[in-house]
Amino acid sequence: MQPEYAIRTVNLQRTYKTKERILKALDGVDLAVRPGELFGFLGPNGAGKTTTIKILTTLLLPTGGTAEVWGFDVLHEADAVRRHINMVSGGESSGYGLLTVRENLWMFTQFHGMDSKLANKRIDELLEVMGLADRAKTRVSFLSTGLRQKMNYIRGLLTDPDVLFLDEPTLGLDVEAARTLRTYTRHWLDTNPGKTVVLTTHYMQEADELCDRVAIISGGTILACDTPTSLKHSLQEDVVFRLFTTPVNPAFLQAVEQIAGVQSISQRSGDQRDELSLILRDDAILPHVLSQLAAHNAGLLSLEKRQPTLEDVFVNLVGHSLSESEASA
Amino acid sequence: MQRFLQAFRVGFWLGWKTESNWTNPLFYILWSLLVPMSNGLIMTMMLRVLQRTGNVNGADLLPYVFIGTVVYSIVALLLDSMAWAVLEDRERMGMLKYIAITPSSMYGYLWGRGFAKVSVNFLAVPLTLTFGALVLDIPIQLSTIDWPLLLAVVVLGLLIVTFAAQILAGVTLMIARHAGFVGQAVSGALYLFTGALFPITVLPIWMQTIARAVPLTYWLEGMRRALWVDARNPAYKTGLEQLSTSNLLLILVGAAVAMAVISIPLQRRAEHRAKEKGLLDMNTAY
Ligand SMILES: Nc1ncnc2c1ncn2[C@@H]1O[C@H](COP(=O)(O)OP(=O)(O)OP(=O)(O)O)[C@@H](O)[C@H]1O
Ligand SMILES: [Mg+2]
Repeated sequence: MQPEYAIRTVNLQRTYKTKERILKALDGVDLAVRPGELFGFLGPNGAGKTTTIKILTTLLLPTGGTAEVWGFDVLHEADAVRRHINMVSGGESSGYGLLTVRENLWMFTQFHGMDSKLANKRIDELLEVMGLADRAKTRVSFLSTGLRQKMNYIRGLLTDPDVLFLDEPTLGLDVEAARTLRTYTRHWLDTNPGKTVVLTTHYMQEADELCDRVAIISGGTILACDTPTSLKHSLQEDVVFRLFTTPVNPAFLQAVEQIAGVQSISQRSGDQRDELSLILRDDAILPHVLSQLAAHNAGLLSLEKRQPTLEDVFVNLVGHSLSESEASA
Repeated sequence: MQRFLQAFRVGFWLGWKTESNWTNPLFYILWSLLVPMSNGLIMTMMLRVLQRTGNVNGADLLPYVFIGTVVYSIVALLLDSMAWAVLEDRERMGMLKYIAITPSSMYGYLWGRGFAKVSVNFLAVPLTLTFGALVLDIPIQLSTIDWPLLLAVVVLGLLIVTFAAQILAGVTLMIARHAGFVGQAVSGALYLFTGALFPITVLPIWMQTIARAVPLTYWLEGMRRALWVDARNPAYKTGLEQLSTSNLLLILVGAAVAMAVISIPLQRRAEHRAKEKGLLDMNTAY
């Protein structure tokens, strides 16, 4: 029996009180995720992604608004919610070091009251998928961080949840492992109709390739929420340029932002050169930008007009690129 | 109830796995003897020295102290076992949140962890007592042990201490700092206030009042009466000698009920509070 929504939040709020200040981590988040969706959260550090997931997984109480998971209220029906969910957070190394990989995994199936035989069968299958089969009897304390994370991902899938929350699941994994994880997540959804995945990520490409819909969140509010294709289409009226220049100064960036018709400019500094992403209302604006470049004593190395990416959408909405916010964090 | 038992089973399994992680059973036996034995021995030796210097007539204090310290060692273990499990899971393992999001009972799990600790170390108590009887001439004889009383007191004691341990775990759950000291502080303080080491009549009056309010004081008295024939004699002054054994048992039953009544809502409150403040996945990184 499937509910209408796998996840539904209305005006979800969360404030944190610390000694110094009151921080609004979530400021009116409305979500509606259907069963079967792979739903992505994209946002800079501190945007409220983890906070949202913590509320939806019953680890944290909201300070306002409502949230339902699989038709159950996270506040009043937490136990029912817990029967339908599981969660994996990446970028941490967790597990009981004294237990083996199999024991760690088995233990968590028992919290769900799973039949031991079925549990072991699933453990074997998933260990195989994640390339951990030969580590089943290894003590967790002997595993590298990446291997532990794979184990943690398996733990999340083991109980066959209706809604699986993945909080930056590929953070810190090597390229190969990250790909395995993404591919399997997609495969799991395709072969189990109705299962739902909520994923947060910092990787644009991950969100673009994997997610059915993406919510771009910043400062505790959702700025846009749609399929990656539609999000990119929203920029179709605009033109996107990529420029490589000799290093530019902040004054140049400010000057460009003042030009009418410039939607956004973002800068990524490299070795002896800068990469600039420009979103302009139309081609005619470009000469104005180039003349500013000359006025600020910077040289143009190359120029390319390209299709908008999810990153462009992000920059346009959030005002800066994800890598910029990463660098300043 | 089923959820509680399910979680208890997992907690017990994990506790047993991690506590009894001995490659060699001989090490395990040695280890279980070590703590209560060293406690018992230190106290006994001190008394012997005092006796010889003639300051105290320690003759009948010897079994008092020996039994008190040995049985107290298991209390101390159980008392902070659950708080310790909370800290360990939350901070060192980063696993508490993954347990919290399962549909199982958090305190069933914690009870399991606590009882595993007790079970692993339980053997130490009869072993050390036997050692005391054989080597230190502690007057404990199989024929004079009051077995029914012993059973009743042990069960009631376990209940009382388990509920107390659950209260400490609840407090730890609500505290945002690394709170490893809570359990230790409490079990340390109780060591003084419960007559484990010396009869409570040694304490100043106001401290005696505290001691009489602590259920463990009655529990230790009960354990001594069950194990040691002289302790049943009202002429043996412990401060509680006026209390009949049946009243003592009544007090223990009352205490167990009271602790349950306090600890169960407190645990709920603690879980709620931890969710309010977002502490379940907290890491104070020690
Ligand atoms: N327990 C807490 N106490 C106080 N403030 C907190 C707490 N947890 C999170 N915050 C604050 O709430 C805001 C949102 O944090 P959150 O962890 O949800 O961000 P995020 O989107 O997951 O970021 P990241 O990409 O860095 O993981 C941040 O400003 C963070 O500092
Ligand atoms: Mg986060």
